[in-house]
Amino acid sequence: MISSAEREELETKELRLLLFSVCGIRFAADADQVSTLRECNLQESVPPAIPFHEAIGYETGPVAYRRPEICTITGEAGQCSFMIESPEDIATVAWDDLQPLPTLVEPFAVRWGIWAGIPGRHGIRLVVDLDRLATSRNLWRAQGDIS
Amino acid sequence: MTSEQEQPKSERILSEIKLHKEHRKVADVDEPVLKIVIFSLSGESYAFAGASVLEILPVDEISPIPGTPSCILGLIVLRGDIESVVDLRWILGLSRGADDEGIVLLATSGTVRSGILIEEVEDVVDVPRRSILTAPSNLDAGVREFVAGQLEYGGKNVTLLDLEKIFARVEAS
Repeated sequence: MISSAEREELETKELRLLLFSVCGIRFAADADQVSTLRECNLQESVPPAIPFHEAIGYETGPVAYRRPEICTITGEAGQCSFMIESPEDIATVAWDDLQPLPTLVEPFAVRWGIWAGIPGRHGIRLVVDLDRLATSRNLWRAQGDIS
Repeated sequence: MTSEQEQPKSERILSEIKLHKEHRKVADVDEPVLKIVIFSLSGESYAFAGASVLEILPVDEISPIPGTPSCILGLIVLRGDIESVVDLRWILGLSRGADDEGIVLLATSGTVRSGILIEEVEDVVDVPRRSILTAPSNLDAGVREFVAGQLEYGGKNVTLLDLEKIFARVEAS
């Protein structure tokens, strides 16, 4: 049981989230992890980013991104760029609105950086730690490797 | 005239019936029973112990979650909480039905709680524990490891499943 002080802290602490969908699955990522977000130029000769559905382990057929954008994160290990659908919004969410994943799911999901969910009227938005995803999938590239 | 003769026959019969029923009531109370939730899956009848089933829910929308094994169908929202949904057919090695719509049993075993997708709830009944028999050896191998027993109900064979083993299988995937 949490104390009233802890409850108050949960209600007042907030997280700024980048909201986007890929393959019909709704995701949210900590906006503070994102260093740049730019439109994807499909004419670029060097594949600039890993499609997010591949990074997250969503095994499905070929996926066409309708309005692709490149979301880049920067960390001590370098940079990592994901191709995502154009974000829907950036929203501020109270910690209290984030829910831990169910016991059976958490050990699997956390390997892919998915660490919480936000329940809503239209289903669940999965909260993903992009740093953790890049590390667990060994997706970091030294800065300069990514055009 | 004996006392037996004084009592009308109908009264005597009625008293005997009442006495008999009273005895049977006592016997019924004494007999250990198990509440079970009987449900259908791929044309067969299965059951879980009723104590482990918290709720029976119509499926609304199951949100898929990437990176999880095939036996986890996804997540549902229940009164603002997130619950997982397990594909029992996949675990038991049964064929998929034409229609994946169904019912979710929210069930618990130990510290684990999850939804389990089934096709239809057939009944929720108390059955005498003595009616639950050891599962026959000719049961399909994929199912046998999860079986706690078998019983006959309503003219059908019902396979009682061990929820703890099913959750353990998901965790080990």
